[in-house]
Amino acid sequence: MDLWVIFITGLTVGGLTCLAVQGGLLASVIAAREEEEVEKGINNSNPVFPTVSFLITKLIAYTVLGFILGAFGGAISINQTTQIVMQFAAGLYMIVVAFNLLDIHPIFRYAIIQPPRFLTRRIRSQSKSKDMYAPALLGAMTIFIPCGTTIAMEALAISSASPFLGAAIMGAFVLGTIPVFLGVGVITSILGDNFRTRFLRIAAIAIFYLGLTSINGSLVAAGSPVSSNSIKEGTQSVISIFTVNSSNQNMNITTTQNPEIYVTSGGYSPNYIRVKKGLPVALKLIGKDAYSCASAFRIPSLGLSATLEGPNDIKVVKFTPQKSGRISFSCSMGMYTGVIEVI
Amino acid sequence: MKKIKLDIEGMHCSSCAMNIDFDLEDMDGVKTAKTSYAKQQCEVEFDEGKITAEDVLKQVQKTGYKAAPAQ
Repeated sequence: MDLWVIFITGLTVGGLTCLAVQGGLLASVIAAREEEEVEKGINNSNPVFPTVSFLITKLIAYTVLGFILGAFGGAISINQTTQIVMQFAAGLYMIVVAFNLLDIHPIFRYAIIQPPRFLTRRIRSQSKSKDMYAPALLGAMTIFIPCGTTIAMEALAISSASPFLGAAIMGAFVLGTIPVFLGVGVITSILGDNFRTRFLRIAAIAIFYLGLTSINGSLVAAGSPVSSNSIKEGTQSVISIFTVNSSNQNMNITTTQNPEIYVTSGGYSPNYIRVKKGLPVALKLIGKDAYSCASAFRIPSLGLSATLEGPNDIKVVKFTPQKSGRISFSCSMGMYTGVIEVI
Repeated sequence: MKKIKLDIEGMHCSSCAMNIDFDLEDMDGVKTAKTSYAKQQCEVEFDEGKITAEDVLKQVQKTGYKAAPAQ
């Protein structure tokens, strides 16, 4: 998972758009409390405590939200088609959000969902509360006023179809927005509009990349003939016609009907195995701290799927290949891939 | 009560729309403010006895956006 890209998205766009409205709310709740303390004559507070409590509850709220969204995605994607469609739609939405940030056409503005008025009003009144827990509560309530980018991240969390992955996505995003709240916002306001435009552009590119990855993943998972992997493979085979030693990389692969593949958070190892046709294959998937979507193993062309129950679970996938050729396998999101060569 | 429609320039996300509404509704005399990010427009209902349309425009500018009466 490209958690770093998500983090950078938070750092750039989240920093600006979240700070635009949430920073104002935070400032207002801090001011309300200071007023109260001045009245009581105990003005010894500093804005660090409310800011930190605001940020911590915000992080927790979003991580929990990511967990719920991931679980929700998992629940509705009982069959693989639903998940693939969902992932494709999430990718498409992210690209639209990126186009909106780049201000390509006013039409993309309509894709940005504006939170309902009763929620924004409720949050506004919360920001005027003098209660000691007001900043913390306000931080948690920001989940109800997501900006376009946040919604794109939420879509990604749903399409991950895993509560842990969903939590990681939302957590990384919100973590990225934190530095701006801790003072970097002052710098961006000094550097001015030029800097802001550049920031939005970085964010737009990051979101665009995430959108493309998501769409490509859905294509791979669907076993589509058109995806970046198939294009890459195609070019490689064209190149291999001209280069003599190209098959060397596959020379030391043993042909076995009982292959073993280690499943880690980073994918499949080995990701190239060789089997004989017409004979039953028992493919053993051995989980080694597999906390990513790699634990959801799929062979789209054979309609086979196996999901490890835990990060160190073991599952055996059985099938009998009928014709020689290459069979692609991937995780449920199409992010980690590999090939079974049938000879 | 008077209702006016404004064209807003400079909003880059729905948060900006929210900010404009918050600041307008804090004004004494403004009943409601509804800003649409998608349409880049803002509808304000205010009490003419307390403030003028000019005051509303100034407040939007103070929040940080260009505003003009809708065409």
